[in-house]
Amino acid sequence: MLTQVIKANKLTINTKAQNPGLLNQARIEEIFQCLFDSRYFAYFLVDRNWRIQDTSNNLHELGLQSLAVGVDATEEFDFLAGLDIKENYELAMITSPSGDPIRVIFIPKDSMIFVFIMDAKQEFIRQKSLQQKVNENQLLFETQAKLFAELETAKQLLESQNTQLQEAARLQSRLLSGVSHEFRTPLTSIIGYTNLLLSEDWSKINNDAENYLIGIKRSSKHLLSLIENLIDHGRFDSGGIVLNPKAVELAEIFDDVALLAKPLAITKNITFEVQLDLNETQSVIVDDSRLRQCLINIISNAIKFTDFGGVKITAGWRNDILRIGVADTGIGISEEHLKEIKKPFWQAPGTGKNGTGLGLTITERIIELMGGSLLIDSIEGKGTTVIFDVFAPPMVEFEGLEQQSFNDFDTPLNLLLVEDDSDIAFLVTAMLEDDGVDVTHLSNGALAVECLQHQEFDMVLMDLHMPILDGYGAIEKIRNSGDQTPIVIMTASAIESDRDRAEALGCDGYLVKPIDISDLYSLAQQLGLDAT
Amino acid sequence: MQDSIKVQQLKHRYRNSLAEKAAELDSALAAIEFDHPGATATVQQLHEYLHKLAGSAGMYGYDDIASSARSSMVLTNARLGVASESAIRQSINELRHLLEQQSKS
Repeated sequence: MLTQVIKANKLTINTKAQNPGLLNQARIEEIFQCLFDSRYFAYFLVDRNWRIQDTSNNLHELGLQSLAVGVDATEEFDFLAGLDIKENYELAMITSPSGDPIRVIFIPKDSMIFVFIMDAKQEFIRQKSLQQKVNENQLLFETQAKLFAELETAKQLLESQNTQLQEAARLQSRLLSGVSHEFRTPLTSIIGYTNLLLSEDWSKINNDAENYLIGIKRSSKHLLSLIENLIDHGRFDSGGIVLNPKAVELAEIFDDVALLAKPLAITKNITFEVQLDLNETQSVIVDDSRLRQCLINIISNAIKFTDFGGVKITAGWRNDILRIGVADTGIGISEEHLKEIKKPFWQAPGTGKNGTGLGLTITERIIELMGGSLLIDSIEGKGTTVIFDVFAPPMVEFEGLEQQSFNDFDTPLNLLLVEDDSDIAFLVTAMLEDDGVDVTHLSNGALAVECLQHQEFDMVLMDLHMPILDGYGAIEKIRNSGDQTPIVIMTASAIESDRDRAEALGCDGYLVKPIDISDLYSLAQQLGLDAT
Repeated sequence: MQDSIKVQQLKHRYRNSLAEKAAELDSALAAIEFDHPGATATVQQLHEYLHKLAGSAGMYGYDDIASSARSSMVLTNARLGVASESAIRQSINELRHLLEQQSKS
């Protein structure tokens, strides 16, 4: 009978049914396939009044044992009473009178309706598990979005803390420089008085006293060099190291350094050789005191770590560049230590040699400031070679340069430069100072606001994009405090709205980078600054 | 007017830093995960780096670098709408090429 029904319905199925409850041919074939595959399906046959005419034998397996021939099916399924089944129809998931999930399929045939019932427990479990997966995915997605938001907040917090730390490091450097200065003065006095005492004959009366004095002097000198290194280190961090290049004879510098270093080599019974590839009277422009500092530092290190053989200095000059090499036959540096050696406060472990651990860091930074670079090549147990270049243009090109500076102002212009980019700050400072302008440089808006509360300037030259407090914020705070110092903005932004915003906040001039210094002077004159 | 020694030294120092700047530009670009929803912050970092570079390169007389950095700034400007990954990459590559070229000149 069932086979007949299937055949009959294959011919009469309405494939155009749009109602989701109605069945198309593909769906009904799928359902029949399920029915054949399923261990749990049953059926009953009703007339149009829902009275049962026939049943399968297994209705009880689905908890529908009350559906017997002659019974009104609406007594078990009350919703059937209102249904008018004209086409094949499916109730995908309903609850049976016994409370189990079932699927019901109606197939009308003439005056009868076949009602197929299928156990939908597996389907129910599958759908439930699918829903659970959808829920889990949704939860996962929401958690992920929340985590991303937290990450973003943490990143912003870190960035802000990083800025604060950089500022703290700068302040610490400044403090260190200040404190170190305080130490230096009394130490210099101690060394001076010790020298005096040592030079007096009466100190020889007691040998022990002389030894004590020598000890004091040596320790004080060590402390002094340590402090001087700390001062330099601090100055670098606060951008306070400025070079003072002047015309010097290169050979003279090497003579002086050799004079200092040779006795150290003799004491250690090692050789010391200087080989120059220079014109003896060659004059170049360089900061000689900083160059000497670098040379002495590298050479004294070479001597310190060499017990056999010797130290050789070479120097050559070509195309504005002075190249210096310091080679020794000392203990050398392991590959592992070579990576660490330039770091501040690093000291070679196990060598028994004391120092501040700052000498090489400072030397490298000075060399970089002089437009050069430093290379260290070493083989452990064989020796070390340090090579460095510095920019040293020949004297002849710069004759009469001192007279080229000009200043159109009656009294030197006193200018506050607020710029976070050191490349620009150094250049603008150098150009302004060449023209006799007094320049104070600060690296962000917050420092400028604070500085202006204590110090007066003729003009503020300020960048817009800066950390901690940008140019806009700074102008607002400065103007709100009642300060009317002329403010000229110097920015890479040529966007009109940026300019309007800065002007609305109270800036007096707006220059787009690259700025021409003469434009700045014209602006200063327009602003009524003391110009002739 | 001829540059003073200090200015010459600074210019020399800046030229020596161009190769490093090319590498920094690379890192800034590499930090951007273009497919990632959080990439806005890293694009902004690249934009700020370009802003700095445009300013300093112009001041040191590298007009071509400054102009190329400004062009790239347009592509990374969140206010105007960030350009496509390929457009940004192409623009940064051109800028990096200029930096490397000038560092060797």
